[in-house]
Amino acid sequence: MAKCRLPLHLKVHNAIATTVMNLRKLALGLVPMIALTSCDENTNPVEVSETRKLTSYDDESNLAVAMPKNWRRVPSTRFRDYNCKFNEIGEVYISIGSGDIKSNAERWLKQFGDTREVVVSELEKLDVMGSKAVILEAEGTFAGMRGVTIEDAGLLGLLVETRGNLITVKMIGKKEEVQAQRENFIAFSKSIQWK
Amino acid sequence: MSKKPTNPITKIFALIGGFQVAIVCMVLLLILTWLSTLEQTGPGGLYWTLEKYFSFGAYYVRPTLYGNDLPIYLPGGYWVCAIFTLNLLFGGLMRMRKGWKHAPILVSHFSMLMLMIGGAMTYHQSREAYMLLAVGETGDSAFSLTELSIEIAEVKEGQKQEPLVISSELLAGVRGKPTRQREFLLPNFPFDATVSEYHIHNELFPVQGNAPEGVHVVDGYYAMPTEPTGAEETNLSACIITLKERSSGKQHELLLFEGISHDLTVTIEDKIYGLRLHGEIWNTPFRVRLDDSRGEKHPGTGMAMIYESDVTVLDENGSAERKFKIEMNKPLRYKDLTFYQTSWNDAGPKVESGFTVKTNPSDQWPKYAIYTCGVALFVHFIIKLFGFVSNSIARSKNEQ
Repeated sequence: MAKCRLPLHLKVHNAIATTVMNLRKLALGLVPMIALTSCDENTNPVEVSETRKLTSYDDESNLAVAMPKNWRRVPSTRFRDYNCKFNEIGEVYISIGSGDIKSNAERWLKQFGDTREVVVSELEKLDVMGSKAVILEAEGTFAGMRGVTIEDAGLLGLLVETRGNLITVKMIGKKEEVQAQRENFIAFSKSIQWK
Repeated sequence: MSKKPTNPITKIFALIGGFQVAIVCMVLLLILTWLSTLEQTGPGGLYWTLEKYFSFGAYYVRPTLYGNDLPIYLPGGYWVCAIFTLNLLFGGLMRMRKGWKHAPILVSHFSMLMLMIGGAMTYHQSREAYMLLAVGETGDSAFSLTELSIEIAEVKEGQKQEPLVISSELLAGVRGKPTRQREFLLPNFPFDATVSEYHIHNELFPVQGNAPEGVHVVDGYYAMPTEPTGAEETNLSACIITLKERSSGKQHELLLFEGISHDLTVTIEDKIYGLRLHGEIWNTPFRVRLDDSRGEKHPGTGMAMIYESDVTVLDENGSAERKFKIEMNKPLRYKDLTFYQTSWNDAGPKVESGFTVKTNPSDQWPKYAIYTCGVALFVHFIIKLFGFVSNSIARSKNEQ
């Protein structure tokens, strides 16, 4: 067969025209494929049964605590290493900090407008984390750090010095609710252990 | 001249396997790679740029150059690769002339096909997570920095039980689409869950006084959505999960935030359940102990310049199996897993090494494909050279 020699510009034109035509055909083929794959919105109800084994990643804190069933754990904050709530406004939180028992106890009382000096030896004692902890109680109007004010509030606090740290457990809420949670508070405090 | 195909199916094969499609695909891949390389340095970041240009769901791309959207649309890289793979298959392996002389070209096509299929396997099958160890610590899991899951576990006597995992794949339909919600049926628990208001990047605030208008307050906290950052691993997702008791219909709402490093809890039917939104956790099939870690930082910066780590792989009983030294570009490959050291930090009380842990069935395919292709093309060159020299000698003899 004789070879037909075309000028260069016609060759280029033919090549472009053929390519465009071929791409159109390809695009037509892709349309139903794309339509099929985009049908699933991944929002239909789905059953989940996948589990995984526990790992060292699940050891999230250096404290082990058993929380009462009628409390709920809420996000920790800078000064609340283990943060819980109960009822509507009741709060219980563990803080790992520094300082001494006396000054921290007096700071807590000041939040209730009580400026008396705390005599640590006179406070109720409890064995927690292998050390003698003290329990502090107060009632009245609570004025917290976040501008929170609670009328008829109650405080149930525990302070213990262990391993060079001051561990505090502080419960704030309505007076009657705090009194009702006393047993839970004691059990919760006793369950605290270093991991 | 080759015969023109008349059968429609053969025509389609000829079209897809044609040179024009090959050239168009390669040019498109070149342009996509060039544009995405430029774009990933901008606010989009690497993760989102790769998603935009090369993900399965990216059917077309509108490139952005120096912050401006270009007035063009290009096909997505994944689909260009798919067509190029078909082109190699139909054109290279089916249409090409067969015979010993063409064997090296056939092999080079096969190796390129292997490279493309390897890329697809990497995209669909590989998993990547991160393991952070301080010297002396042993790790048995890694967590994803970009794929988030929701885990729900019962907590008995303060002890977390094996969690149920709502994977990132199941959450994909609601992630970053706060108006959508998805229900998850949990037969192992007395409740089902619905996830909604899933924002990619947020800040979490406790309510102080009055909460800002329009925010969803849950138990005294709210998440304020902000613009996601380009570095996906630095985004902090948040969502609302509503648990509905099957027996009573009672609902419990929780605000899950990626930045919370512990479970939030809810009590249902006298049992405590912990919930958490975080990077998917991946149990490694063996444990790794970091024995020592050494490195140097760029002077005057906190950025690591060089680093290396001595690790010991431990079996299930904690006995040492093998010792390895992981260096930059010299990962640990063991039992289908690859450990690359990707960070080093000596700022804390203990030196820490961060490892990217990857499983990829086609991990070594690109290397083998390139070697095979290189050898095949070399052989082809030698055959051609030999033919040329032989012909030249024969021609010169004829001329004499």
